[in-house]
Amino acid sequence: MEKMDDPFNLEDDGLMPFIHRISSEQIIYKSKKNQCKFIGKYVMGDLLGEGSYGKVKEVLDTETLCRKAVKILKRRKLRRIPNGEQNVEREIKLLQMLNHKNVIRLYEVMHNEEKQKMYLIFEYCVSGLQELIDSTPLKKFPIWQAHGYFCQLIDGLEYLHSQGIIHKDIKPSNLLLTTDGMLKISDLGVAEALDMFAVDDLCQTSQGSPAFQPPEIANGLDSFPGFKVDVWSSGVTLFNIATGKYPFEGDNIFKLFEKIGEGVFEIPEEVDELLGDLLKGMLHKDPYLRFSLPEVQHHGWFIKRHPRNEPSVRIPPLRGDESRNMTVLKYLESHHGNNSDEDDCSDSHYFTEHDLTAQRLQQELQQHMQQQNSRSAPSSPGTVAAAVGASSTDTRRSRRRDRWRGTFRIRKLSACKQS
Amino acid sequence: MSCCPGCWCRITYYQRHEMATSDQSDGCNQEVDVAKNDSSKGVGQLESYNIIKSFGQCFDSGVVLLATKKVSHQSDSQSFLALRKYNLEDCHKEICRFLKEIWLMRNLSHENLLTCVDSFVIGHSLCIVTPLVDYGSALDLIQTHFSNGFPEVVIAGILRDVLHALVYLHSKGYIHRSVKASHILISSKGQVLLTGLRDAYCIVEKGRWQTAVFDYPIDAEQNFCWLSPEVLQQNLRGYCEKSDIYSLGITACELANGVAPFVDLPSTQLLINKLNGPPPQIWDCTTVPPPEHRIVLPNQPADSGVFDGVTACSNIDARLEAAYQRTFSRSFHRFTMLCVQLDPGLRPGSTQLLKHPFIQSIRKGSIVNWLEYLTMVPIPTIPKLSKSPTLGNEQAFQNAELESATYIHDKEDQHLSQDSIAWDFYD
Repeated sequence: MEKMDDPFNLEDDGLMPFIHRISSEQIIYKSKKNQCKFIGKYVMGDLLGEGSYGKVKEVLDTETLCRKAVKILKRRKLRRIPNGEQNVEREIKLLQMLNHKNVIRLYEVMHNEEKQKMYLIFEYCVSGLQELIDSTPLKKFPIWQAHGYFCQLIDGLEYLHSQGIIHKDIKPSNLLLTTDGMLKISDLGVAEALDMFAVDDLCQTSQGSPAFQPPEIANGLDSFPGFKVDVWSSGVTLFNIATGKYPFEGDNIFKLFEKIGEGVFEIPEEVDELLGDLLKGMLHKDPYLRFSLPEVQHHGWFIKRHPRNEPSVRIPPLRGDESRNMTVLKYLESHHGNNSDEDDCSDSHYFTEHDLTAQRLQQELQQHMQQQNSRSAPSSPGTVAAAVGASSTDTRRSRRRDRWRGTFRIRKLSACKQS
Repeated sequence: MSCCPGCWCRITYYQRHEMATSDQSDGCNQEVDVAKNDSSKGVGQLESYNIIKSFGQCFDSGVVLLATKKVSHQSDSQSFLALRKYNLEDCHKEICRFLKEIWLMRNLSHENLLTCVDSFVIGHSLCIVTPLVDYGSALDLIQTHFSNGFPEVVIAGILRDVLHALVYLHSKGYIHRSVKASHILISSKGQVLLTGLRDAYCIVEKGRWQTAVFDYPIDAEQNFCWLSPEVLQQNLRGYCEKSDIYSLGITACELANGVAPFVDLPSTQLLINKLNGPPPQIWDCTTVPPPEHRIVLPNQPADSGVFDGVTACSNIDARLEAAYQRTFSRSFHRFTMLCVQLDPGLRPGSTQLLKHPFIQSIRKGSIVNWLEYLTMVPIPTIPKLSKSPTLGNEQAFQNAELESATYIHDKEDQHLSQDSIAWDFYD
């Protein structure tokens, strides 16, 4: 096991470790083929995110054609993380019994013993609050938008607490968004389910993110009321998404915990009185004097209707795709593609550095030409632009030109190889 | 005979014929009073209906029964009703959709929408009573009489009324999301009714009229062929009421070709064809190539996308040959082209489409009433029932019940048949 991991231990394989020099001319690149992968009835798409536990990819349910997301967990990786396997097991158990519009839905769990992998099929979320906030210059939302997300967060949290679950890791990166802007609380990896007959919500452990931890944890108390931990983290989250700042900051975890332990923070000037009062209530040092969820829900700022006086922050494009279309399509195309097309460009699967440079030069030349006579007729088929761009207008035009062939054969738009 | 799930009901021709013949005596529908024959042991609201016979299956768990409303001491000019019965134990998440359908059918009122006369729950069963639409759905008519598609005039007539219903629905803020031939009901009086409201989605949310909605239909797989590309895409742009226009375009193709485009394709192939492939067309001599140019492609895989993806159809050659013999008007071609455009922004709205020459053509006096086409159609030989149950006596009801039991038994649905026997109207 250990030996396998060691990249320098090549002697076992009979390979001598010495460096071979090759010129760039000799390197042969292989174009990445869109290999279509299936997990059960799901088709794999592009990567959505990567965490310490594993990758999250988009998938498509081939039965319903509904977009979903899969969290791929490798057992080998999990073992390295303290409590990794236990946390995942607990998360699955919790998620399977939850059903609320603001809590992420887990549809299915699949195992692959051979690959030592585990697949968790979740509902598809297009983005997360952290990603959205990072795309803005001031790292904050307009007040009305922050209010909308905060209300949904409190709704979801209220449900979790009603089920006796303390999330313990509320932060913007754990709050995901669906296409219709619905907030979903995700990552219940460190959540704790209270015993059904527990008299109070006292907890002893917490493994959440340091910046969102309350003073009682920063000060290392033996036990603390659990629900108030989530109220504190929600307070920090609200502080963060509404102002773009953090109430407590430190260069390292000790300084940070020191600041949190003191429980003294400043409310920025631009924050209005009502919001300031709510933040003070939620970020009260004493957990017993801190607002409870009902108190938050009855607070003036929570109830208030906030005017939409600023444009909303929109979900940024992912890899150049503004509307974040489904990414499984190109894999499906290669899966369903007919053989003739692959024969056509089978020789262009491999290319060298020289080919790449030549191609880049040609493209630049093409662009230059297009800029010069931008009003001239569209490029004729066969040129790079027509082959590479595969723009729908071009193909449509050619389709109209030759209606018979156009209707009988679907074009593999994204599968076009660059020659 | 199997009913496509999600379809309203299925009345086979002979059943309708039977009804018609029984009415011949006085020209109008005859009321058969069961109450006098049976001891009234029915439960609650069911008492006010006479169940005549079962004639089909609806959805996965539903049975459709023919019924009439009881009117005390008056037994003339009664219209038939369809009573749909669903076993609530069988449907899990569908219950809320049935409730939505009933709510919508009761609250919306338009001459081209099927209304709900009554609805009630008895034991484990939910009953929805609607007027009986005697020809059944447009899909039934296609399968029984118009296997190669309707004549153009009929399609224009049907689509005009469906458009009226859509204009109304859209003005009320609803997207239908499952416009298809099996959701279009046609009566012998020429009434066209749109049904299938259980998939409808409200654009208005929290008092705000949304520019786009994002909800993915629960049982999208029933409507893959008709769902618009933007609904299937599930991206940040969402979709709007224009997606119904796409479905209408596909329905137009379905009515004209006798078979819906993309049907029989595996779901993922359908997705690719819909999003990247050429738009579907109506087949006539201008779109179907002459036989010598028709590439039959014997070893073509089923997913080649030939003729808008209808390859797996066994009788594709016969269909194409029939299509090659006819000519649809240019306005009909343009109409479908407009509807099935990929970009929803380019598709006209439902009100605009009503003014399209293809729809307007139906109003001109030169064209005969489209309904006449339905009655003038040569009727294929009808398989006569060996023992035709005569309505009006107890024996007939037992027969009907038996018949329905065997009918259901044919479906190999033990659970349902047991249930239908347990649900005893007749003693």
